[in-house]
Amino acid sequence: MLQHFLVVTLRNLRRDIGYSLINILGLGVGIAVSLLLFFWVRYELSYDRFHIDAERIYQIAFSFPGEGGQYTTWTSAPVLFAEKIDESIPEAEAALGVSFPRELSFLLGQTPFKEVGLYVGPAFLGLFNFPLLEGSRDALFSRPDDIVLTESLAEKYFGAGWRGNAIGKTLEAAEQEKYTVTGVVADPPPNSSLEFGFLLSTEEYLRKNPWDNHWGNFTSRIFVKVKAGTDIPALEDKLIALFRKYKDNTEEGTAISLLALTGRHLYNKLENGKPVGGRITYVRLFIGAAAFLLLIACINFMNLATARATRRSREIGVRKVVGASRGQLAGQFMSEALAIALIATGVGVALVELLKQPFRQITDTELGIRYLEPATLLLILGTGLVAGLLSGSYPAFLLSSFRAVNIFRGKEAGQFSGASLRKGLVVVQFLLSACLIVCALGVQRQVSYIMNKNLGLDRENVVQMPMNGALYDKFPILKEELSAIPGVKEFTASNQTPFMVNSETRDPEWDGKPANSQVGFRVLEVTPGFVETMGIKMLAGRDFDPARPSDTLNFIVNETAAQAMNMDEPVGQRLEFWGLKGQVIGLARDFHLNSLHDPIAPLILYLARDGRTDNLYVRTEAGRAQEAIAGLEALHRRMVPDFSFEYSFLDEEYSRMYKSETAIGKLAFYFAAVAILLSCIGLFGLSAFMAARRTKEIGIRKVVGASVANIVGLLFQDFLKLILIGFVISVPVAWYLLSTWLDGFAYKSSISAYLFLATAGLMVLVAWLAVGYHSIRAARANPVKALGGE
Amino acid sequence: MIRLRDIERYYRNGLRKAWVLNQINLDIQEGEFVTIMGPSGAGKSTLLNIIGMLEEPSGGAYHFLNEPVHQFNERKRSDLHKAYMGFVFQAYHLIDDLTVYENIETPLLYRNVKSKERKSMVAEILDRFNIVAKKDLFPDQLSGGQQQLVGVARAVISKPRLLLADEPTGNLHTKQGDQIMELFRELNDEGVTIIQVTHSERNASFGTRIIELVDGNVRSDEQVRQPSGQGDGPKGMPNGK
Ligand SMILES: Nc1ncnc2c1ncn2[C@@H]1O[C@H](COP(=O)(O)OP(=O)(O)OP(=O)(O)O)[C@@H](O)[C@H]1O
Ligand SMILES: [Mg+2]
Repeated sequence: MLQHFLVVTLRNLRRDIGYSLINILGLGVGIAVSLLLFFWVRYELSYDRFHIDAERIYQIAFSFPGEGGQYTTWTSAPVLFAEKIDESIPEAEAALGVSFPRELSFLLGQTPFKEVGLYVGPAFLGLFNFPLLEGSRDALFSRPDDIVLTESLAEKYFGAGWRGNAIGKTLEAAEQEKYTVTGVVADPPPNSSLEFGFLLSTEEYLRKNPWDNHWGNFTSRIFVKVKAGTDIPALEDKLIALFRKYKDNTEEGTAISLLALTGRHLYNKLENGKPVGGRITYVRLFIGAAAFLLLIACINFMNLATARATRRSREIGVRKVVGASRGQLAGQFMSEALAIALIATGVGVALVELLKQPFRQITDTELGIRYLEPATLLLILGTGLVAGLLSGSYPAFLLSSFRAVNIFRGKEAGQFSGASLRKGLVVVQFLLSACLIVCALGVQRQVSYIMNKNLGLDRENVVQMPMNGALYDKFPILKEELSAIPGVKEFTASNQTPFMVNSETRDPEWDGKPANSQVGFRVLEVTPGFVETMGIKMLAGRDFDPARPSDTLNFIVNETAAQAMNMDEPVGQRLEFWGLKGQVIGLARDFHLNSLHDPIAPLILYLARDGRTDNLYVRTEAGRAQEAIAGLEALHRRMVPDFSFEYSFLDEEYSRMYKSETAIGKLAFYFAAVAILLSCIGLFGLSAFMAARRTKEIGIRKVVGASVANIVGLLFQDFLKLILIGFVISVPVAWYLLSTWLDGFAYKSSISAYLFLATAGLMVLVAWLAVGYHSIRAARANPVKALGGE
Repeated sequence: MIRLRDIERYYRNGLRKAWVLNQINLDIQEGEFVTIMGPSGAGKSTLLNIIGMLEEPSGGAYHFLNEPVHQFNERKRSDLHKAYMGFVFQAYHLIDDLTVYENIETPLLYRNVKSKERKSMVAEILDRFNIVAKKDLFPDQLSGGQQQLVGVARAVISKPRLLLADEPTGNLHTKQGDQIMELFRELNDEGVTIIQVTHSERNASFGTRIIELVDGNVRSDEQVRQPSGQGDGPKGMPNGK
């Protein structure tokens, strides 16, 4: 029987080759895009799950009470805390500090290379599953200069024959530092949120950063592996109690929360100490988009299959008369659909191979496709199966319900072939397509809004360069040399990128500060000339003046800070924090010191002590950036030869901040394009059937004087109605989706009518192209032929 | 075999009922070869379809082999149809995508006949109908007469006890028609009960009984010859029962 079905399916496919191609291609594209998205989603979900007992590993987060009952959450902690947890909390199997990623400059011969690594507690490789390839786990960090490298760094610094060779070797770093290799671990897989090229000990970290050996400095991450069955809320209480023991001035209401490691990647947005979403939103969006696209492709199949039922109705009738039961007929159409879905799945996988590279580039992520893995095969076959079942079920149900007598009397075909359902499905298709198009346009609009946003500072023509090694100390004496570099207009320095100011403090004191004030201020360390070099507008007062030594105790505040401190005339007011006691000397106009997701925060600028800080910013003459960079490089090589020269443009840094938005914008665009393409493929096929069925009517109309335009209009009008209904329903849905996404931004573009008008216009245009071909052909056909054939 | 009592069939036309069959009473015995004749629109096809359980009467009682068909649901009716009946159409109604062989085989597929048995049954019938050479051709490669031969072969492959034929020779030349009629008589001789609808006196002469239908009423019903196979029963028992 199955063989019989197969034969029939194949002959059918061959006979209506156009129809078959449309079906297979449409379904194949739908399956391919869904598969890509599913692979991506699966990969995102796999983050950090490769650790043994991953679900028992947690990261510590602190929440401090803030304005209006809200808490400020930090995922950092004093590194000292890890050891105390390990010692005195029995529920904690292990606890350790893991620094944020840190850069070191290593020397390969004479050439410096920047590498990124972590300073970790000794239990690191016991807690996390990064297999040790060489070395003995117990002896990895016995001395402060012991270093563990990843496989790729071992190969980079010790050559391809590093095995059995690297251990015990010395690795030289900038500033005469030397490390001894004690272990080599496998590279962290790309789905690890802990990324590193080398590992050093916490001990070494404290040697380099002695000020972090302090309970008030939240500069490390702490991970805890709890015993199975631990009551997490109880443990959180226990932890904060322990913390208070060591830092007794901890603010009332401060809480510790344990964040599951496996959720850190996807639920990266925290509110009041609890994960509230983040990247998971995109995962959900993508699953939704994948389902949308697959559904659109399946609808094509259903529509074409039922439209074609007219042609196959005789076969159905005959089969019924010779003894086919309804179930057997349904089985036949179902297996036809499944066979087509299977072929389409093959096409889909081929398309995945074709598309995965561009997809990875756009999303800047891995997909982790390994075809021979059972889970992958299951996913592929499952998607194909769902597509087949979804596509086949309705046609199978409908076609098997035909009654033989009616078919032979010529009724079933004309009167009943699911025309109204088919119309409904076309509406659904265009509704989904319209949603995707509106959202794609909306996201693009927001991205272009972001890119064109006037931040209140001038990010064009600014080169950013870290003050590596000795540069940091020598900056004050380099000013002459910097000014002499051709192409350099102005320069300044600060400890953070001006639109990524994250240092926050509640310490500032000013006259009239309410006792219960919990205002957090962003603070930025700068050198004189910062305001001018960055093109920030001063509203009152003046910039820091290198000629006035007292300015090292003075401040510039932004408008929001002045407001937060309730100062109408901030200039001249007393302000002090972190031991700096001075006054406000300038009021700067608000500029965006953070991403546009967040409102502008209160900001205080203070002068770098001794004029030294982390990053150099050079404003170049327009069009002379390359000259300036060459000059900077020469200076860098001369001053700090054991560091590699790295620089970036400020405007590019800015764009990088919105990498994921840009990617989403691009993807949404492609999704929308695929959606509209699929819908139109369906429409193209459908219009062929419609035109064929109405040949006679068209012939008659032409004979009585209708023009080609009249007839094309007549045929198109049917579809136009459906498209417009779909569009109208999509308006509130798309509006809701888009505004939900935009709500994540404090500064956003409006949802303008243009988005909807453009969508409607686009859909009508593309639909016209899809329908037009068959309509015009039908309309131009010789009416005599059409009628004579009857 | 067949007992119709007060069978009626009407279509609603607005508020009015259009009667197609009027209180038909009819008994047909196993082994008969019945011809239904009458003017166009008389209800012949409708009656045949009702007997063949493709269509339901609007009223009346229909007993087939003493089973009350009028009380059965669709599933039971189609089981009965499948077990005992074969159908031949005026327009042949072969499946275009299937070869002659496959067309003939189809009824067996739906009766879950095993592959080996299927092969021998189809081979036997191809041989008997003299169409072995055509077995791999598609319907559109055959003449009308050949197509109808295949149609008959398909109808009888499952060894039905009742063969229903609606103007089986309507689209054929006299010579081709005679060939089909000969075949029918042969089948009838083997014990298959046959009911055919035809406009042709010539075809009717092959049968044992002629019923004339006019405006949904039986106008005449005459025996033209003794059914030959009467009482012998069919040669083979139907499959799938
Ligand atoms: N769906 C329907 N609605 C209304 N009337 C119908 C319908 N189907 C059939 N009829 C009518 O039923 C009557 C009998 O039709 P039937 O096909 O049984 O005639 P027939 O005797 O087989 O004619 P012919 O010799 O032309 O095949 C016809 O008058 C036809 O118009
Ligand atoms: Mg008829």
